[in-house]
Amino acid sequence: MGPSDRARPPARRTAAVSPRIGARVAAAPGPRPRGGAAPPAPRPFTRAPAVVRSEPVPVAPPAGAIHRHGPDSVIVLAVLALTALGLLVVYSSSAMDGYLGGGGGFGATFATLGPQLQWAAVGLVAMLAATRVDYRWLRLVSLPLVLLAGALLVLVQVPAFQVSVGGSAQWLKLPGLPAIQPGELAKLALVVYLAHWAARRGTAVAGLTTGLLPFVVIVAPFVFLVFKSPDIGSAGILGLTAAVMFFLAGANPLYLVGLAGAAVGAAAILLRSYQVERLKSFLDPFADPANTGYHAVQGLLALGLGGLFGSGLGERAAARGIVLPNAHNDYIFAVIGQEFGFLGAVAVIGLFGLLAYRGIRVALAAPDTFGGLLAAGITAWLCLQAFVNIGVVVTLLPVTGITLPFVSAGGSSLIVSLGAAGILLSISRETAVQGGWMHASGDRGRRNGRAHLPGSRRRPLPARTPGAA
Amino acid sequence: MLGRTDSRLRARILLVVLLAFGTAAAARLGYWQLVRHDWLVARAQEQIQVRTEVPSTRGTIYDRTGTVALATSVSRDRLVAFPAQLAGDAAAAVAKRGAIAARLASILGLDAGAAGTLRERIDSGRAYVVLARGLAADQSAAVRAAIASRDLAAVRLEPEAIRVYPLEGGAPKTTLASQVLGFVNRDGAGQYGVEGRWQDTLAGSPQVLLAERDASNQANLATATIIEAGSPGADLTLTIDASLQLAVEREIYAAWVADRAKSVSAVVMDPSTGEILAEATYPAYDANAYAAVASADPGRFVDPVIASVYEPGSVFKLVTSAAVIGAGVVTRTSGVNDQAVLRLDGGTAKVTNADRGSKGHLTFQDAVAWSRNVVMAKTALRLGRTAQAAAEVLHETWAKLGFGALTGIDLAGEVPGLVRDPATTTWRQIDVANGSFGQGVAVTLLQLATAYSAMVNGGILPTPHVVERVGQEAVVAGDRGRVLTTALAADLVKIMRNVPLAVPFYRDRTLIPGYDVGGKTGTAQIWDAKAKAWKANVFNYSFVGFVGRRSPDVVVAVRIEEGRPTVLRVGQIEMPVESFELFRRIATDAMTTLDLAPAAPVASPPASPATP
Repeated sequence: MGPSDRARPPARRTAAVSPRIGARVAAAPGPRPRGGAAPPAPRPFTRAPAVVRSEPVPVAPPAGAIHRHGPDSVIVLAVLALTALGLLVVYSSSAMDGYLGGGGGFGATFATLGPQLQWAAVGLVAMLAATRVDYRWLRLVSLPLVLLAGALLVLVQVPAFQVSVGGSAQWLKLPGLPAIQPGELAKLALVVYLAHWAARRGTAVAGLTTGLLPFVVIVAPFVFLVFKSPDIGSAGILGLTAAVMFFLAGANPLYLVGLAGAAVGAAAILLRSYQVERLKSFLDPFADPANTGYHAVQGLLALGLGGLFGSGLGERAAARGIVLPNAHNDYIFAVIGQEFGFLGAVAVIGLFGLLAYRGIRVALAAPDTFGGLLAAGITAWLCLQAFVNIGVVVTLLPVTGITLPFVSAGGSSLIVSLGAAGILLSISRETAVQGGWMHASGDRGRRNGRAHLPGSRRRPLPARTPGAA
Repeated sequence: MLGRTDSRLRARILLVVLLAFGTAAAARLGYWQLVRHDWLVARAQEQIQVRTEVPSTRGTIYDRTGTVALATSVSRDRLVAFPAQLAGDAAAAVAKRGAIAARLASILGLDAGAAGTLRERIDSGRAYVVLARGLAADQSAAVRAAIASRDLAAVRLEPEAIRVYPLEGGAPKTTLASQVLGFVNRDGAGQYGVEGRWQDTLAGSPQVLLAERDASNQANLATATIIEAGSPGADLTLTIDASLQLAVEREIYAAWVADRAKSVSAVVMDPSTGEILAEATYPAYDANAYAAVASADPGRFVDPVIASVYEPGSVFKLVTSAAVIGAGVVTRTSGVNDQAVLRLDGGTAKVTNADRGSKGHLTFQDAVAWSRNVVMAKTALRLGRTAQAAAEVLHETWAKLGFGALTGIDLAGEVPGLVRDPATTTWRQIDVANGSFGQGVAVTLLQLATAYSAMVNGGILPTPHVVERVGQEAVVAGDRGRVLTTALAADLVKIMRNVPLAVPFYRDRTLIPGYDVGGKTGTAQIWDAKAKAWKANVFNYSFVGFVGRRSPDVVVAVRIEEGRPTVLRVGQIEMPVESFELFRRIATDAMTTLDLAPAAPVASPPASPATP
């Protein structure tokens, strides 16, 4: 991916140039623009020599120019595909339980899917709105947002507002509102705030007192509160995403290694014994299939039944003896693997891989540091959570209860994930052309061995008007 | 605008790491779904498939004619519910449960209490409960119709084999030969008697199915594959004669009523083959309502003829006779001296006759007929130079005749009884004396009948049995070899014949004109272990004897447990139905139901002297 990748400005927004220049550009040898919408093929002179071209002709735009265009359609498609698949599989995995638990009747099969459809509708509206809104407005609300999320995380520790689900109290029940998981909102709020914080700090994030310490002060309370919910999985995703953003923003790698060590140490102190047992069991779930390895083994059996092509949508009910805990939630990937087989499950992994690829592309092309960090942070968060969830099911990772973004049942997760995707799409609507001052490294420190520019230190250079140099 | 301060290189590293994660997950996924596929599927099948055993039809039990079914199996419906599907506190769920409970209560015709229990079960929220068993055909049809019209939900009818004992017994609220047959419990396991002992034969082997679970975790029979075909249970043909059995049950019930006895038992057997022709005890029970019996009085399930031991008393004098005549101590016609009191063990113990008197000089067979305890004790003590030596000879005779050991009858629950073994305990003279007239030993009525069979069939100890054929295949019970010489057996038969002839008050109530009849009575005191004393005025009455046309054809043993007699004077007690009268009634029934017409012309009854 070089700067030439970005040479695909939408024709509509490009100033019309003279036919002569257009012809020259079109006939010029060398690298053709790649990726995205291909420019119209130039017409050979022999066919219509007399025609004067009046339509816009793409030219290499000036470096640093910001192009506004539609959102990244690949991300849109991937997110919609995952959401639609999620609705199908949530219904498939929860309908029979609802039927049996709700006293029979067709309506009872929608016990889980019904709310999920509403959440999906709300989430899609949120995504659409976030796509339309300029993401820079988020910098204004980033601080209030992160404070709100923190407050909710504190509230969920108050027993009066807790709704315990499966031995963990991560649900917050406020009067007049449906139960929400503040951990999900915290992920988005922290990503937005960290992007804002790092963008404002600039290269100072590499320092100890200017970077590491504030970072820890911001992030540690969130990770700790989510960890105490107790929701180890979400705490891990939160910490990992924050660390990734810190890394991208230019943190000192040595500090990151230290952070990782501190996190491992803290986990060793804070983890309860049953959680440690559960963590260990993933190494060989079949050693104790009835107890510590139970969830993992049930998931693997479901995957094994799927084989290459799967049993087909809804056919899992035929394998009633396999008891997938939270089949429509934490273990929904096992249901996908059973019903759609290896091919279907790999397609889901592929959709998240596509999201990662396009998301990082958006980050690289973002017009400013905030946008870049935000896009990369959202991408890292969603994809890390997806791969951790999948890693748990395929026993690459110990069992933790986190959702598969866009797919798992659960309103908080779905709405927040779709909203985050909307922000990502909003960033994707703007592309900065690479190769100018805009993208020069701001670091003029001594380490690069070049001439020391007095007074600049590690402050970024002021922006220059493209072409003025 | 400021330049970008985030690192493009690090963003690309992040992308590579994320894609590596995805690739690793996909590789691991492929390992499980493709490489380990077969292994995981095999493992999953163990969880998915549920093994179901469908019991085969249980064999029918016929009487010796092969036409009268004593026990048979029919299919009835069992009503089950899945309350978990109806659980919930919402008003609609509660109303639905109430409607279902009310509908079922009306179909099943339940009273208020039973309807309340039904409602509790439906409210229980459990996955599976049985609401009712053995539904009548019209009830099944009503439930089916209600399910079809959606008035009932979360209930199901399941077919279930019910054991039916179609014939009524000779007493009220009993089924025919209930204690011989036993019953079959809910799990299809036979309990007691023939059902218990022949369980494997009757039940056959179940059909084993492997089926997947359906949504409610039950076996989905549409997906079932048969992995073991199973085999149906075999029919049994018994040696029991249904009509004789019924007659015997009526007689013992009548005796039980008249004598105010605790129980009355009788067994009729063929002495040459060991076939049990009839065998009954009252109180018996209704095998179709075994569950009620089990909660009220489970002791009734035990068949006293094979499983209840008692001190037989004077009927054991024939066994002593076998010992003393066999040892050459006396002959049948030897003269013996009776006396009122016999002092033993240096005067510390004494033996008296039941009437506390003496008959003076008489023959040995008359001494048996008049049931002289003193004579039996004296002759038994002459079996050896010491009491211990005499005990060994006496015990050997008991063992030969099968006392203290199982007879080997093919019924469940037989007990061996208990006799003292001189090899392990030292006998005093009083022990030998007591043993000679049947005190201090514990035997079953069946052991007595079997020992008498050996005496009347020429000396071969038969193995008693009730099953004649399994399917069409005859069961060979065999015997336990010769235990008495032919001459000794003939002597013993003569002694038995002499009993009703010699004693006038036996004569008119025991003899059957035109038939060969003999036997021996026994009236045993009952030791009350709690009070540590003999029970006052209640006795175990026994009679074991034979009846036949010219020679013994059947052996009949009866026992009236704890009958309440009227004492006329010491040694002479009177009951409405004496044991020998019960014997005669049963013997008469046996002769008529077995179509054994009198061989000798019926003479005018012998002159009957006044009752002594």
